[in-house]
Amino acid sequence: MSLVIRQAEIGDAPLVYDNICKLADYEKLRHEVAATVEDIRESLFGATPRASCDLAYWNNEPAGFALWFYNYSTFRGRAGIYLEDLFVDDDKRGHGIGKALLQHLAKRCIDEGLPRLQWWVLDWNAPSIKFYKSLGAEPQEEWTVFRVSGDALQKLAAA
Amino acid sequence: MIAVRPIRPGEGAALLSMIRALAESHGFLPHLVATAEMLEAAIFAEQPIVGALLAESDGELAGCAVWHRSFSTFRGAEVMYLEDLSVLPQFRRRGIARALLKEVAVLALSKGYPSIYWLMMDWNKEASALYQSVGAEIESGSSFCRIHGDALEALAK
Repeated sequence: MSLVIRQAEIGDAPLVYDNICKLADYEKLRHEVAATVEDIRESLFGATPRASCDLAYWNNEPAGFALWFYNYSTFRGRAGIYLEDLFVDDDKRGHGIGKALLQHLAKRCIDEGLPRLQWWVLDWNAPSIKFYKSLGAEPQEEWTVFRVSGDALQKLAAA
Repeated sequence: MIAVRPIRPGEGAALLSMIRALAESHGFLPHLVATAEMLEAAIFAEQPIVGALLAESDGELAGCAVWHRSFSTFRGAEVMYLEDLSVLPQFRRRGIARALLKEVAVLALSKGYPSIYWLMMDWNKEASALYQSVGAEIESGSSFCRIHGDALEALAK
């Protein structure tokens, strides 16, 4: 029984993409995946990487991933880490792999002097919410998310 | 007259005063530990990690919009995250926030970002009306989580 976490490299783009699709299936949001393997290769491993990815292996088999990037808090005047995706394969859950991926990122925060690790959770995902709370994370329920995109964005820019 | 432009070196203190106004109106002042130097260092770094626009009202600094890049794996593209939108109290109700949002949208499109998103505290009905009037939509169904302080250190061990 062994768990290894390593940073994804350019040859891992198909595996990263596969994880993104599995997460989207789990979240019932597969129809929202517009990204391609090429998009992921370019975004993560191109000339200007936009995000990073940690891959988990359980007994030498791919088991899940954490995809993240740096954000910034003006109140703290410091960068932080934003966890965009966290996923563990269905048949490899219960081994602490999700926790290990989060711990790996928490260590990076501490090592780099970053005060905060943030992410989103779907409100129906009770098992994940319980898991995050058990780690000391606090769901911030008093916030509303707004988004402007597509035609509305074009319109706003031309106002 | 309202004019919106990128922040210039030396304006970190002005930016901080706007962020302080935002923190005050949200009861978050105790959490505000950033200094003008920290903000300028992040904005004017060789590889900036955050950007800021300032609004002037008849030549006086009146408000700010602070943003950083975000990445959507589902889109496979960068999007823009609006970290702060603030107007100093004495300049409110003059259309400054709307002017800032417009220029944020112009900036997002110029960088090829397909969307802009931000957070608002649920009680802020006035802001909500403004955001919906500029075409923003509420995304429901998820909550954001964060871990910091002692809990972050404990998890890292």
